[in-house]
Amino acid sequence: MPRLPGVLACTVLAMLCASANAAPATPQTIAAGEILRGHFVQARQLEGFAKPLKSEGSFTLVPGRGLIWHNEKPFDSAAIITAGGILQLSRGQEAMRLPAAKLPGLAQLYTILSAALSGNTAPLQQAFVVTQSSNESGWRVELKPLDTGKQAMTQIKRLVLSGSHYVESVEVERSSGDTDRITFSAHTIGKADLSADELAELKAAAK
Amino acid sequence: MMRRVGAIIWILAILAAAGYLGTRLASGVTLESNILALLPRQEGDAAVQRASDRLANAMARRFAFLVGSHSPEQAIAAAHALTAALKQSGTIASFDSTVDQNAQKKIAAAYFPYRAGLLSEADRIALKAGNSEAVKQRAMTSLYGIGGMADSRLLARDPFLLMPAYILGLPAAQTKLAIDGDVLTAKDGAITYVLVSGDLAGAPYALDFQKAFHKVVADAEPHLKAVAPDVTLIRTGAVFYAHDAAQEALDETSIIGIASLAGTLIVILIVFGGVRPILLDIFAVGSGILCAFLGTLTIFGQVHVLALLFGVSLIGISVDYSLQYFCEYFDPGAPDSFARLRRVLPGLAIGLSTTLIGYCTLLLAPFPGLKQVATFSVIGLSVSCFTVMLCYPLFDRHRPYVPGNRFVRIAAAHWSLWEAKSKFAIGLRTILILALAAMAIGGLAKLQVDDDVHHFQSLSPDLKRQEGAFARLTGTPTGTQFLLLRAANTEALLQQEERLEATLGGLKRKGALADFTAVAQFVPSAARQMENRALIQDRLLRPHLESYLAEIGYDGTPDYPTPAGVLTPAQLPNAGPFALVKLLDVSGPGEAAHVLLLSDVRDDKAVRAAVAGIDGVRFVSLADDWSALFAEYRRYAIGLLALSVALMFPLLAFRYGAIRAMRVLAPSLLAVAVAPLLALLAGVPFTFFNAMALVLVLSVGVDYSVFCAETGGERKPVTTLAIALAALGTILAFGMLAFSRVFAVHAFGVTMLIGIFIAWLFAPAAGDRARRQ
Repeated sequence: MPRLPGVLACTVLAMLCASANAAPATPQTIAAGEILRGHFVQARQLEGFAKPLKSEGSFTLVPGRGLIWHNEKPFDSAAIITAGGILQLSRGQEAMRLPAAKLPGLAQLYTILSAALSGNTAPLQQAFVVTQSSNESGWRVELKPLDTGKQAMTQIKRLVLSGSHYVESVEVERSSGDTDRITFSAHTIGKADLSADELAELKAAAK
Repeated sequence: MMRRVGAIIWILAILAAAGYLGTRLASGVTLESNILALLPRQEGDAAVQRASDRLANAMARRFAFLVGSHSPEQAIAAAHALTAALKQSGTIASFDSTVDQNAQKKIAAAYFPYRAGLLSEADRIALKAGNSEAVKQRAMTSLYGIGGMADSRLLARDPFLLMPAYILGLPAAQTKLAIDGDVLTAKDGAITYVLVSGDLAGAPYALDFQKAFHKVVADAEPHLKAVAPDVTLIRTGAVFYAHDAAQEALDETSIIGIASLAGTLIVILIVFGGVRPILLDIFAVGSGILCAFLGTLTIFGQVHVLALLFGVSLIGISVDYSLQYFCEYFDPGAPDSFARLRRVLPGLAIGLSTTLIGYCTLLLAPFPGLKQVATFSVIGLSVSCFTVMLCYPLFDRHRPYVPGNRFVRIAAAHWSLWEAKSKFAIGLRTILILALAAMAIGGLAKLQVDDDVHHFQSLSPDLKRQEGAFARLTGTPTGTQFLLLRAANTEALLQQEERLEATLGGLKRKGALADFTAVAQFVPSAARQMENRALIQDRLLRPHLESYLAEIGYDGTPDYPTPAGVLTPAQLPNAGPFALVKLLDVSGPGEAAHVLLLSDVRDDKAVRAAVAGIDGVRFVSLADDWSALFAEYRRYAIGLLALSVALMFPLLAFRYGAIRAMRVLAPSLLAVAVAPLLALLAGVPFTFFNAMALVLVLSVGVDYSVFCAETGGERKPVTTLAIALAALGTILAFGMLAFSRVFAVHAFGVTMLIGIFIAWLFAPAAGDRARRQ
């Protein structure tokens, strides 16, 4: 059965942003015109695989426009996520385009992103049961999908986000038994300093 | 005594008809409002007809709303409220705007067993070009990408993830909509629109259904406002156009009906004085319309709104018979009611005969709608005329003639215009004829024929704007053009479609059309599936599977079986986007046929040229076909006109002799020739509807000439008064049509207005000398 997995990507992204606000301490918000950059390491443990599929690279979140997820290892590829869907690039070439029109859930990405960034977690609570906890060293948010009957959410069993200031780790457990663990580091907030490549990628994704 | 018995039987028959009509109306009457229902079936090609019918029917039943608000949540809530209201009303057969998870599962379930033979276009091109690396790289990108583009269960059964790529490549109905939870949305600046669409449960052109649907929507609107105060509704669908057009036609029918009846009654009141003529007139006209409505209903099972519209205009003609009779009040030679009838009887009989000849030729035409108009008219006019003949003498108590009526004096001038030998009268006649000739030549210079069906429908500009906004926001393709493909079996059709895809793809890149949809895009031909299997086996699995699995570290053995058979269109469930596939299949007995939809064809010459000469492929454009049909029937109507003249002539020649018969016909023929030219001068192009009006101008115009030919001596001014009143009544009825917003009715009205005026003006020229010796 083919999956329609874009939703999951969105959800993770939403968490990335939302986590800043979910922290009881000083929630890190991104002001208009600012850009959040960082490094990620993703380990996917899939059933039937001896070892996890590991990838790492950098991400760039441009509020209002999209997110560039740039895999550097094990090979060069990128995904640009926008309100219109996801564009996958493989070695700089368009490999696949997932339009929001064809994948349930992709469209909310933009909405959830902006909602999370403005400190409004209401959109998340529509889809998840949110449990928060925190101590001096950091915070932890556990999300379990509400039974809304939406296919998008039935793929996810549980999401756990944790961090101290920014979100540092996201764990996704899926109903298939697969688990993704993403760790983030080297967060920086910068002004609009997108490279020509990044601008071109965002433009291509918005096409 | 016999007369009395005849009249009483006639009145009882009318009353019985009224009673029967009452019971028919009580049990509900279907009023049809589709203008195309007035048109004949396209002759010849049954497959084209079947395809057109199915598409037109399916399209006509579609409805769609975009529910918009600045707040996306409120827009969704309002859309849900609208959906609930529509669902509860029972006017909707099915919704297709909610994202049906089951439908998506069904789609995947239908394709999945055949995945070893399904390749997306890009993957197929890559494999054919020997670029299997690209396919592998895409799979790897998905595997390592964000959030997991694939999970282990899918990977185990589709290691190169060919299936998701194939599913994504299926044509989408509305390219600009995004899936948001269980609804489809579109953004327009700050406003979020939510789609509510589906198929109606009833016929969109049936008036009672339109009314019910319209009421449901109107009733729901306050609820939507309660949920989303800034709600905006964009609506599109045949049902809205049909409702608007029907409302317009009904409004016009009642206005025209009331105005022409009121006008006529006022004229009668002023000219003849007293209530009795008015009551008699209402009885004559009413009995005609009542029996006409009942007769049409009985014969056709339903009544078309346009038949009703033209039919009601009959008030203006059927009143002519009453007027002929009433004018005998001013005839010194007709002291009592029976004498009056005797005087007018020959004129009435010949007038009715010529008029019926005109209408009966309409019955010969293969137009279902015009047959209705003709039936309505023949029954209505006959009944009105018989009411005058049978009942008027019985109820008429008018005193005998008193000389010196001012209306008669005025009417006498009309006659002298054509009879007087004075220089003034001759000069006036010459000026009149020259002016008419000059205007006719002016019209001839502007000669323009118009058969474009788009011009005839006069769609509501507001609804057109909404339809445009809908198409822009949703990316819904528009157009009524398609290719009709025929072959011995479905497999041959699918292969033909795959060959056409290359051709049409080229045209699409050149901008000749926006897009196209073919069954083969949903189900590849068996040949293509076998070819795909070989490609996947030889170029992907055998050389690359092992190294690929080792590279990603997969331990198991993928389950990628070769299916026993191939996927065929018949195996697809009738759900979600597959409903379209079923619609495109228009196979008939002993023949497989598919429709290949073309959207937004901008260069139809290029498309026609590209498919010309391909066996079993035909370019069909519904609008063009309808336009061609209108052209054909415009010519047909002119033929009918000639036929009417040919049929009237022997009748007139029998009574007046050949030469005088020509004289009687001359004013009407002049009107028929000049009226369309004057209409052209006024900017109304010559269409089928003008041609139909001319058939009426001839029928009615000949009446005036006949009345003039039948009169003589002292009765001349009485007759001119009668035809003046008759022409006034007809113009009151049809002149109103000239003000219609509906182009067809407008064109009809303008032609009638001018034609009747000319026929009336020249009618006395047929008189006196034409009188039988």
